[in-house]
This record gives sequence, structure tokens and C-alpha cells, in this order.
Amino acid sequence: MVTSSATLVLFAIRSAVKLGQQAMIAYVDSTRRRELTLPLPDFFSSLSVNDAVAFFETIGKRFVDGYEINGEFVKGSKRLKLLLNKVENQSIQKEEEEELKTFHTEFWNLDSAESGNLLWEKNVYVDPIAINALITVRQWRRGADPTSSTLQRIAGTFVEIGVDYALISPDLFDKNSSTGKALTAFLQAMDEIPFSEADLSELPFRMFIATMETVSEHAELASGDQKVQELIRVTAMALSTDVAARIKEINNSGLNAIEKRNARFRIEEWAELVFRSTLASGGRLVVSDPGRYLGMKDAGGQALVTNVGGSVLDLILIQKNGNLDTVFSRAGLETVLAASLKTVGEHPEILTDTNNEGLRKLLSQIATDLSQVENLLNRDILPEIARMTLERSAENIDVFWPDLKNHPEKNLLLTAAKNTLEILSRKPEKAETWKPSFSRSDLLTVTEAVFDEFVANPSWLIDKSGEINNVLRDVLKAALDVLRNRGDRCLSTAVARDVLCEVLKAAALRKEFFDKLPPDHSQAGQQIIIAAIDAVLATIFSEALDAKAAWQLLRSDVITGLVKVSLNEMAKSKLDAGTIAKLEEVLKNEVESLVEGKAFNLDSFSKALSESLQA
Amino acid sequence: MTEFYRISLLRVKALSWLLILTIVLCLPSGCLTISSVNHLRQAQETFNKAASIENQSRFDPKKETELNANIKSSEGLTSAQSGYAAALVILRRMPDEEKEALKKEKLMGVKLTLEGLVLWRLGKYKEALDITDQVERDAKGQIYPRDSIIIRALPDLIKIDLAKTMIQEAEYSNNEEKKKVLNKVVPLLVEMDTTKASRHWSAVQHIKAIRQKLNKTHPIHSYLIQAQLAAYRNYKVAFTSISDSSHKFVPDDDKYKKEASYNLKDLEVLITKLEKPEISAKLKRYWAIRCNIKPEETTVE
Repeated sequence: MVTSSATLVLFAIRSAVKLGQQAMIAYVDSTRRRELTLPLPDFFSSLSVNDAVAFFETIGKRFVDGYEINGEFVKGSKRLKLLLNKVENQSIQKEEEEELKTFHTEFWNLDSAESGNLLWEKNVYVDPIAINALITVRQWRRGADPTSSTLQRIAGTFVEIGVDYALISPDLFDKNSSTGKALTAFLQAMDEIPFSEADLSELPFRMFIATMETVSEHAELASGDQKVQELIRVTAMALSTDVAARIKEINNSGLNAIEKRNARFRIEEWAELVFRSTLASGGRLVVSDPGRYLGMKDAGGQALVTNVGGSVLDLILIQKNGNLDTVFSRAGLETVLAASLKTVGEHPEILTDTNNEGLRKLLSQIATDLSQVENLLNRDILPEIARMTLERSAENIDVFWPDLKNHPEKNLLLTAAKNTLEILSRKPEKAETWKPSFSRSDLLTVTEAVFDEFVANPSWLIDKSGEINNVLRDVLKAALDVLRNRGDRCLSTAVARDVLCEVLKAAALRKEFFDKLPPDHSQAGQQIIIAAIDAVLATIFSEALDAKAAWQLLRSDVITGLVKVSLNEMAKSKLDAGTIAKLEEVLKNEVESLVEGKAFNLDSFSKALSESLQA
Repeated sequence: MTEFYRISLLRVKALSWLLILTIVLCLPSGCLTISSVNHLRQAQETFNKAASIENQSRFDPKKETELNANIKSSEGLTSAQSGYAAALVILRRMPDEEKEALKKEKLMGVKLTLEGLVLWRLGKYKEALDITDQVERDAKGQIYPRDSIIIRALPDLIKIDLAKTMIQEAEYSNNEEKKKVLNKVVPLLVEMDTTKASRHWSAVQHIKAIRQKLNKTHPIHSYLIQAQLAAYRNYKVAFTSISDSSHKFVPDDDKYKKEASYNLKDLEVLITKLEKPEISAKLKRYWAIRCNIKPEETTVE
């Protein structure tokens, strides 16, 4: 029941005026778009004797008796010939003219039917009503009408009135319950949207259900906190406006009706997911730090939380490099949203310094860069790469996002991620003995290891000019090349991943690891760290390796352990060509002891290597 | 009756009166708009009916072989003319306040386009051409896609009409006069001379230029193509009836005939795309027989 009669009356007046205004606009619109039947200009629509003569002198020559075609005389209608002669002599009578015109239409139809251009039908005449329908023309071609339909205007107004009613009616829901508060916030957002102008299709209903479900699923949202209400309101409002603009664009596009419907449906689906994810991910953040997420505004004056939702929706919907629908699951979307909210919350300058484009451009660049990585089968790593790039960039934003203001799409960690994925996804060559296909988790682990090194050692991985140097990329590539050339099918991608991570970790320990072996060395020009891995893997995967030794050394933990221990021990000693020789010697001794029947012990190997290197 | 129902009834009564009051209060501001839009819609409806009658009359199968048929004198055409005249009266009788209201509602372009069409069909060519200038003056920003195309094509439609009248009138002239008329109607109807200023282009050439700028799926194409074919049809009649007797037919290598063949093909492609096969073959026949173009020359691949 409505609170008071006065409220009811005011509500009724407002509704009547609103409905009346929309009805008037719809009436004007329908007049503007009204179809017009266009009359054809004056032309000689009736067939004349001259038309008949023209036909029988050209196309219909074969029907006239005595006419010559290619040197042969036609055996056709003698009567027709007679009538044509009379036209020539200007002695034809009115009735004969009629007869000649009848010949014309009959032989025309016969000619058309024989040449397969006209189905032989009783009625060959065009239906005037059908012609009228054909030249009754709309103001706008189908789908291009920019004005709202009458149905939409009126139906939209009813929705607006419904929302108004729900807002003033306390019995529709309990305003004191958490869901009631959430619903109030949602309705307040809807109240600001002119449904009669904006085509939101089913989005309001989807968001309504999403609000109810998300609030009941997440304890922090169910508290009924005013900040949560504000989060729901601004998110629903911003997404609705964004989606209305996108739907308008679709409606004005050249797509056919089915394509438009599918495009609208796709937008609604993703907008709903973004809405749910923003509530789910943003709820906790907003409750803990409302000033940052709701109080702080971007360059456009919107709460930061709404810009993030819009940027993520943009990433999925307008990505030019392939369809990302298959890449993003709900979990993936939440991953990106949560990371974006956290990063933007910590560094609002990502939006304020970039005219709100910072996040949008970086996300778009991530999608573009990953789409350019050849042979990358696991496109679904995009959300995780985006998360890692955002979160790790936040740890040192000045270094990793060097020109945020002018080129927010340029991010050094993204470049590093792209380089890493390109190396890991390279197509194997024929001569290589091991042809890995890294899983999603392998790719992410190695990329994370690369990021770790960048975050820990930015000074030696990034030049003074602010660009990435190729040191880490070259090491990773060379290490993987060793694995490809030394490994065999006994080597799993998980072990290779761990080996690569160990190499990356060790690389940061000593700069000398990157020194190259001298020209007189058998592996001249190779970096010490790569020569060391090569020595370890050459021993383990040697074809000449005794079966007893192979049995113990080809275990996953042993391979990783040998690489780790070797590199760690080397890092404690002088690094030069002699170090490699000592490593090879210790490895050789280890193999011999295994052949003799001893058990492999990583600590013993570590001790032996340490003693040899310190000697 | 309980107290509750009594109060509820009172509320409903009060609400009803207030609704009526609101609508009444809203009326004065909206009534001028309503009456002007009503008049415009009335004129649109009358025009559409008249145009339907006129088109039906042209495509009436009974008239296909009618002896010396003069389309203007037919019964259908007379009633179409009355319709156009009625539409003109509605549009012209609109008071200035209503015209202002139309302008305010951004309907002035719609009104002027309709007026231009009506004047053209009534043979008031000078006034119709004046309307095309008036649109630029009085309907800036209020001219929508279809209307804009019509306004641009209106001078071409007038040229086709004028040419037909000239050809009819020359029928009883001497050969010298007939030749002069032929020389006059060719530039009006079909000539393809791009060296001339565009306002001097023939109907076929100018409509071709308009069509080239249009989206291929725009429904007005089928109308414009038929206007081009109507222009060629008039040219063909002129060529065979008012030139000397050695011209019994337009030769196949005639460039205007070739252009008409392309247009006929365009029409077929367009109607096929519109998924109206029942019209496609018959409409193709209608124009092919009048333009003496062999159907296979235009067959869609």
C-alpha cells in the first residue's frame, strides 16, 4: 500500500505526464518515419505498334516468315509478316494494330520462356499491388532508424513508472533487510535511466537478478552497508549507460536483424557478468576502503570502481584481435576485475593521469600482444597474464609503466610476458630431440618467475633509457634451446618449467653468469650459465649413459635438483671456463659412482661440487 | 460498505479526477503539435492513396496493349490527380503556427518533401523545383535519408515527365520539328555527359550518381532504378516514333540501351536480394518488353 494519498496522487500525475509526453514523441517519430508510396514519373507504359516492330526487327526476328537470319530465310508466321508490311506501307488498320501488338506480347513471352528467363505461367503480368509494396519506401533503411520505436517508448515509460512506484512503496520489499537495501540501490540506479530513450533490452532484469543473487552469496554485501548500496547504484548506473550506448551503435549498424540480436545478447551477457564480478570483487574492497573506490573520482568524475567495470567490458567486447568470448570465463573475468580494482585503487593516477584511458589501453594491449604470439594455444591465460601484469606493475609503477601519461599501453612487464610466451611457444625444429608443448600452468609459472626477477632486479634488467634489455630473454631462450636439444621424451614439460625457473633465479645471483666462454673453449661464445645447464643435461640425457645411472638420474626431482644445486654452488665460486670443466668432472664422477651401484644423493653431489669449485 | 472500501473508493475517484485534470492541463501546449502532425499525416495518407492508384494504373495488365493509350486520360489517373490536389490543399491550408510547430518537432523536411512530390505529380514543375530550394532554407537539419534522396531526385523526375510531354506533342509535327524535339529530350533523359555541370545532367545520369552514394540495401533503389528505366523507355519511344523512319528500333550497341540493360540487371539483383521472387521475373519482363532488352542480357549470375 502506498504511504499516503498525496504521494499516490503526485505519483499518478507524474506518471500521466510522463506517459503523455512519450506518446506524443512516439506520434511525431512515427510521422517522420512513415512510409511513402512513390509514384513513378510519366512514361509510355502502354505497348505500341512501334514496340512490336522494334521487337520483330531484333529479338523476335525468328518468328517472322521470310526474314533473313545468317543467310537463311525464316519459316515463321505469314500473317505477322503481312501485318509488318502493312506498318511499313502505313496501310495498317486499327484492328490489325491490335493483332500485331498481341503477336508482340505472345511471341515475347514465348521467347522468354524458351530461353529459360521466364517461367511459363498463366499470368505473366506483374501485380500492381506488389509493385506498390516494392516502391513504398521507409524513411530509414531497415535497422538504421535512430529513433526509438513506439513500443519501446511506451514500454520504457511503463518501466520507469514501475520503478517510481517501487521506490515510493515500502510494502514491495522490506527496506531494512540487506536485500531490500540492495534492491533500493539498484532501483535508484534504474530510476536515473531514461528507459524510453535508451534501449537496454533485458539488461535491467538480468542485473536485478544478479543483484539479488550476488548479495545473498557474499557476506560482505549482505551487511546492508550504505557503501555497498552506493557500489550497487554506481555500478548498475554506469554499466546501463555504457550498454545503452553500445546497443544503440549496434542498432545503427549495417548488421542484419539476426546479427543485431546476437550482438545485443552478447553485450547483455558480458555486462551482466561484469556487474556480478564488480559486486563480488568490489564489495570487500569498497567496504574496507570506501573513500578510495567510491569517493575518489576518475578524470570524468566517475567513481573508480565504475571505470574498471567499463574497461573490462571494453576488453571483451571491442577486441579487434579475435573473439575473446572463449578466453574469458566468469572466473577469468573476476580475476581481471579484482586485479584491476586493486591496482587502480592503489594507483588512481592510472586513470586520473590518462584521461581514464590507462587501464582500458593496457588491457587492450595485453589482448593484442597475446594474440600476436605465434603458436600460443592457451589463449585462456590472458586473464592471469593481465592480473600478474597489473599486480606486479603496481609494485614499482614508475619503472614498469614508464610513460603512463602518454603511452599507458606501454608496460615493461607486458613486454617481458610477451617475450617469454613467444620463447615458450616457439614451434620445434626438426633437428631438436625434445618437442615440448607447455601447459597453461607451465606458461604462467615461467612468466611469473620472469616477473619475479624483474621486480627483484629492475636495475640490471632495465636500461637507463627505461627499455628492457635482452639479458633475461636471451638466457631463457638459450636455456630452453639446451632443453630442446639435450632432452628427450623422458623430460616432462613440468621438469623443464622447473629447470627454467631455477635458471631464472640463479641468473639474478651473479652477473658473471652471463659472461661468455673464451674463443679457445669448446663452447666458445656461450654464456656460462647456459654452458652449465648444458653440462648437466648432457650428462643426464647422454645416449651413452649406463642404464643403472640413467635409472636414478632421469627422475624429475633429480634433474631439477642437479640444475639447482649446480647453479647455486657455481654462484658461490669464481665463474669462468674452468668452472664448467670442474662441473663436468664432478658430474662424470657422480655417474661413475652410480654405475658402480651407489645411490644418488643430492647433498653428496652438492658437497663434492662445492669442494671441487673451491679447490 | 466498510470504512476501508469507502476510503479506497474516494482515493480512486480523486485519482481519476486528477488524471483528467492533468491531461486537460497538458493539452494546450501539445494541441498545436497534435493538430499540425495530424494534418501532415492526413496529407501523407492522401498522397499514398493517390500514388497507389497511379502506380496501379500504370502496371494494369489491361493497359498493356491498349490502343493509343494516353495514361493521363485514364480513369485511375484522374482520381490520382484528385488525391494529389487534396493533399496539396491540406498542406497549403496549414496556418503558420502549425508550420512552426512542425519545424519545432523537426518535421519540416517531411512536410516540404511531400509538398514537392505533390506539386510534381500535379504538373506544377516550377513550384516543385522551388521546394527543393526551400528545403535548404527552412528545413536545415530536418531532412532525413529517404526525403533527402527524393529532394535530390525530384528535378530528374520532372525532366522525365517533361520529356514525355514533348514527345507526345511532337507526334503530329513535321520531321524537322520531330528531330528538334529528339535533340532536346536526349539531354533531359539519357545523355551521359560528365563534362556538363551536374545540374544539367540527364535524369538517368543524375539518378545514377545519387544511387552510387546510397547504401546498396536502401529500399529506395528499386524506385530510382525504375525511374531510370522509365527515362530510357521515353527515349526509346522518341527514337522510334519521332525520328525518321529508318529508325525502327534502338540498336543493341546504343550506349543508352546498354545503360538500361545494366539498370534492369541491377533491379533484378535488388529484388532477388529482397527475396521477392514472385515479383522479380514479372517486373523484369515488364521493363524488358518496354525497353526491348532481351531478358538473358540481364540474367543474374
